[in-house]
Amino acid sequence: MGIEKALRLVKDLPRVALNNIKNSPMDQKKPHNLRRGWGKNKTHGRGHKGQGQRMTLPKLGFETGHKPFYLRVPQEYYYEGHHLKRQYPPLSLLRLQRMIDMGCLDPNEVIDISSICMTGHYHLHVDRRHYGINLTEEGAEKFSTPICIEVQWASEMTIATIERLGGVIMTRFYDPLSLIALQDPETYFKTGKPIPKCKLPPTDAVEYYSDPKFRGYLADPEKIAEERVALSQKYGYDLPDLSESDKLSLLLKRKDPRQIFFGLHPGWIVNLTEKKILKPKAEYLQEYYHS
Amino acid sequence: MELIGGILQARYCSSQNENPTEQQHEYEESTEEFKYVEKLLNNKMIPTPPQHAEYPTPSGWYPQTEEASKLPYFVHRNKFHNMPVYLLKKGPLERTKILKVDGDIQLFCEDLKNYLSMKYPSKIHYTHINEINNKVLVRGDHVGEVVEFLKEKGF
Repeated sequence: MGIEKALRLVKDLPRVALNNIKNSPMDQKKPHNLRRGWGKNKTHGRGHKGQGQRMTLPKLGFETGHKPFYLRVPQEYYYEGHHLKRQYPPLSLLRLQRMIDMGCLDPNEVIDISSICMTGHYHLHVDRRHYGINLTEEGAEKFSTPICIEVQWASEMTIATIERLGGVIMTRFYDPLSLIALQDPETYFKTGKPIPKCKLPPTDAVEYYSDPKFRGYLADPEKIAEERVALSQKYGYDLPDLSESDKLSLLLKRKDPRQIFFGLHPGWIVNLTEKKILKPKAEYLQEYYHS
Repeated sequence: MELIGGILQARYCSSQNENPTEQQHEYEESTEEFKYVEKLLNNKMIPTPPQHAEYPTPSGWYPQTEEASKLPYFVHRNKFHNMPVYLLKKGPLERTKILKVDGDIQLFCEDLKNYLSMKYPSKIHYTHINEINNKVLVRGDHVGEVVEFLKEKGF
């Protein structure tokens, strides 16, 4: 709708020239204040005597002679941009096995970021640039349950341990607004906001999530199957045939790239007290959420 | 610019907010998909661990045994079904803390000290008993050894 309007404007309006341009109101320079108005006589806003009146104040940052803070503390360039970088707090395979042993996680259902956060043993803070789970290799030799798990970062060894046991691992990107809903679904539903549509990963993450080696959700499934075989040969284990397993329907469960929760579509509002789901009918909303 | 501005206002004003149609606010209700929402609601209680075929479990957890109830003292598990043994560390000061010790605490400490003396014979092992709150403090970082001792007893 807005795109058509903009194109019509570009076609109909005259050429940009000096007679139809104006600076923004913020651009106006304020004239130097000579302090000659009413009430500004005598000292002209400068007080009495001293450095303040006599224009001999020291430079900004000066600390009466000793080495000032801005010269004392060295610059550390390795910190540059650290506040903008994505972080994936680690979760070890040992911890995951412990959660399954204690009954916090059900291996007969897909293990999702929300199911791990709901155990209470793993915390995500989206305001601290946490973008998901990093499944580490610690405890790989003790891990022994076939599971279907969806994480945000996994190394080769973790992928190998899970696939050796007949499980499935996928790496999947969620943007921060979706993560707010995922890490605590109940409080998110209580806010009354619609289920968000998950955005695609940023340019520096697209490579990882479309790489079949890391089982990315944007990768070609045929190439993922090839990589499974290659990894089994690299680590020296027999790749179990998943089509023969009991849990085939579970292992094949996948989410749409725009979907956050299993079985629930973006745009829906959940009513917990009346146990209902409200689905919008307006066309523009359907267009947006299905794009 | 003013003339062009006037034309703009006439032809390109945003019409959505001016004429809201009923269609934009329509919604339909359903209860079919609510079963997926129920899976996303928080657990109110800590789940009890399921029965396993053999212990310890792959991650190294084992439950309490029935033999433990026959002893003159008893050490309960915490709410997460784990051993109540913790390390207190305040700089160089290290203490092993054991909570929830019922029964004869003096006897418990004697048995614990004998066990630790077998592992570290050259050291003297000091313990501090808090009978009111059923706590025991052992000097030093012996968390691993204390957990093994409790495992042997069956707690």
